[in-house]
Amino acid sequence: MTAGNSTKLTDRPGVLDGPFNTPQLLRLDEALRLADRSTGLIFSVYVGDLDEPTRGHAEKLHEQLADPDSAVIVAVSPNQRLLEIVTGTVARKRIPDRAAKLAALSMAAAFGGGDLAGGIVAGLAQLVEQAGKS
Amino acid sequence: MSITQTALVFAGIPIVVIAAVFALVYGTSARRSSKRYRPGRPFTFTPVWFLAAPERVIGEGPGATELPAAHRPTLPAGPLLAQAADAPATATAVHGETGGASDSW
Repeated sequence: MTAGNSTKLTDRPGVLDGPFNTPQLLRLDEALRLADRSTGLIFSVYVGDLDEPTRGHAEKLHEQLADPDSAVIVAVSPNQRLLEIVTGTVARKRIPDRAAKLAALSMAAAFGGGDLAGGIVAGLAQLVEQAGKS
Repeated sequence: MSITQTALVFAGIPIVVIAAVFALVYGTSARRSSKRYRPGRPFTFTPVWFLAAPERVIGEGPGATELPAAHRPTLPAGPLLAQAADAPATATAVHGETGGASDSW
């Protein structure tokens, strides 16, 4: 849904019912594409409610990706006010849990100020920086 | 000027201007604030899931469900571990083991 061209965005009007407006969607799209291209890992962002246990739900989402071992998912639940970062086995070697926690901390700080898109973009940037080049 | 003209000019016009400003301010901000997230207030939206390449989500595309069975056994977990200098031979990263972090605000 964030394939990078505007036609895709208009193809799926459901995306615009989501928490982000068009400029924010474009920023997220660019951040995700850059993250994937520069690290070789698969980055994914989920924004929506998480079922209890939230960690288990986030891991289930992570498993649904085609290559979960090298995938990183950032799951944000604005209503429950919590976020989960799940890294696969390969991705975890490049992004240690401590670095993920640091990114989670900066994301939570931005979310606490009400800035969802900015927090996600900043957190992704931090994770990408930690993962380094592929 | 008659009394009614005076009233129209000095009371009617200011009231119209004030009403116009109110309409502009609250008409636009009410529309915008419905999209805005404020911590602690209920925020209704449809859940979204972003990927740089949407076809990488299993179960979305036709035939994508066959992918993991054909794909996963070929993952070179062993050789990768052997290359790591500080990894003892017995250290087994269980396939599917995940890391990460959680936080709340």
